[in-house]
Amino acid sequence: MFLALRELAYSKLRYIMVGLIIFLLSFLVLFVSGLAQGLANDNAAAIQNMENEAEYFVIDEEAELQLTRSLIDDEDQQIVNNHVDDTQILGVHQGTIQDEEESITDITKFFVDPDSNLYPEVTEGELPSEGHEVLANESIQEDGYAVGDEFLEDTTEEIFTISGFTSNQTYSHTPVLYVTEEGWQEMSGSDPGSDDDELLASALVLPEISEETVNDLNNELGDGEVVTIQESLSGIPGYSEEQGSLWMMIVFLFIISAFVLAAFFYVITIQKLTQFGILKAIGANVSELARAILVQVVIISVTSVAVGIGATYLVAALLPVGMPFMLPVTMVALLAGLFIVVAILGSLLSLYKVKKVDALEAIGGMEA
Amino acid sequence: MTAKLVMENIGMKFGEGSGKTTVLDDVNLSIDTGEFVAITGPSGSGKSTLLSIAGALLTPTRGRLLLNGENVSTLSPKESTAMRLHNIGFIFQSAHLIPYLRVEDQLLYIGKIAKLPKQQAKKRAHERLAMLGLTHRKRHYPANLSGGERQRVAIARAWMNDPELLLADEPTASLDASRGQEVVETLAKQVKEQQKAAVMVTHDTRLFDLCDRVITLSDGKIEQSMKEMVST
Ligand SMILES: Nc1ncnc2c1ncn2[C@@H]1O[C@H](COP(=O)(O)OP(=O)(O)OP(=O)(O)O)[C@@H](O)[C@H]1O
Ligand SMILES: [Mg+2]
Repeated sequence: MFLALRELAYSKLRYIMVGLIIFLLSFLVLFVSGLAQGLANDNAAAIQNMENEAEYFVIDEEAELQLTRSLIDDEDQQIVNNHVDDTQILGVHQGTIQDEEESITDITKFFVDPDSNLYPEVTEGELPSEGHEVLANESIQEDGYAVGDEFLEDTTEEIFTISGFTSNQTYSHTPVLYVTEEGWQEMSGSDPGSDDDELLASALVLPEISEETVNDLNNELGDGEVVTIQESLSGIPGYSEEQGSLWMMIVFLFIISAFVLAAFFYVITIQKLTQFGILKAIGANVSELARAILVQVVIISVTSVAVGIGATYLVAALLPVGMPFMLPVTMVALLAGLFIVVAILGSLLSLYKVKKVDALEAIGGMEA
Repeated sequence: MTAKLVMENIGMKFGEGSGKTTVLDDVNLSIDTGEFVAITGPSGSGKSTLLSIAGALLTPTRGRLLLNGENVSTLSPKESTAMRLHNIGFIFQSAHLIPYLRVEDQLLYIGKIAKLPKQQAKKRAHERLAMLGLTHRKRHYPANLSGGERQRVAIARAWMNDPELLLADEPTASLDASRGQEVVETLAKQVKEQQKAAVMVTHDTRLFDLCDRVITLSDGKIEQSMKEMVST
């Protein structure tokens, strides 16, 4: 601490510049991560939420993980029910709605049993009580809808009413409308109340089950296959592409940071080699010098990353409302920790150099 | 009397193969407790090299080195660092201060790595700085000192840990004659009073009076070793 702090105070400008670089890099990493998370959420929140209550989906093998293309037939449903007790039918359908002024909004219709724990909470208004009522995600308010508003549904060409709002339920960047059993039957083309009132299932939602059961199901099912909910996310249109490119940026930022910091610390250490040699000659041992360097690196990087976190949240607060941005505290902690680890790794090369410096050689022969 | 420093058949060669140069050739030397010895000789005769070997900064190609009765040749690098810290005070040919430490901190740092209690270190740093007339400069950085002042700080620093053996390479080179005389007098007095030992490389014949012995080095050999009578 003795050396570390005094040198930071003496060479302020130099270390402020290093700090500035770390600040900018960490800000960029945090900001891009926030966007990645925000987009992921905007794209897949309705499915991600299900992960809290369930573990697996049974999806049509040929749908390539796209719920909207998947259909589980009665036979497969029967097989699943023979193995697992607590399954839920999930219906997913993408479409459009029109308001009175004929303005069109993209939406996704979901069907889940209102009594199951997959069904979201009402944040405003009420649960649908009649067939032609829906519980809509609140983001549809941006398109001018309020509780009690009516709209024209595209598959049935019937008028539906929004009975209430829920929050954080989006699919493929569109608001999700939770429809009633009756509504779902109409939309899937069967006649509610008739004999043929089987519910159309895009997927079956399964709780946590054993590896064995998963294998058994995969062997017995005709068209269906068991996938984890996490795996199914990549089937949401655009999800893999968005997340892939953003996370690649983040990984590259980390790699760049590691090299930039290593180069910075290395140059600074090389400039100070004579000093380290003198310190060794007067009796400072390597571990003391290493500690001085590490203390400096930790002080600079922790301060800069902290400022980076502050700046990220500040900029996030100034973003326009519709911009998807989400940065959970756990994510920030993870990235900040990783950044500090990268900074320390970057200084390892310097530590090696300090270990190697010869007290006498650094003093410049005996002259200079 | 016990010897603080013993050099037996010390030889030093630099380089490899045909470019090999012999800098020191069979040097035998013994410095006793309470002794203050001057080394002189022409430039390039190996004085600094001899001092670096004596201070365990440089390993000789040949011979045996005893510090305080301990064989230094067998120490690990870590042990010889600790040995330097606790037993040897160095004054280099140029001051070699740490640029980002204030004068006072230059000394306190030595106290810190030697794990001296804080109060004691402060007190001692004060004494050393007063002894060298630097009290009014203790808050200065090396960059803001004159060459002579820097050299005096280096001396104070070498003296900080109460070393058994003080090794000084032309410590008075950048001091004016009277200041140089004064500094060396202080060194000599300390060595006597505290029963330490000191070796000083110097070209300044006026300082020889203050030394117990003057060793002349020439071409890596001890040419003559004369005893001076010192009136105390
Ligand atoms: N690392 C080294 N490699 C090769 N030769 C060296 C090395 N260090 C010193 N020498 C040589 O050893 C000889 C003695 O050097 P040294 O510095 O001991 O002389 P000196 O007596 O202190 O001279 P001065 O009075 O000029 O300081 C010189 O010829 C120098 O070139
Ligand atoms: Mg010399």
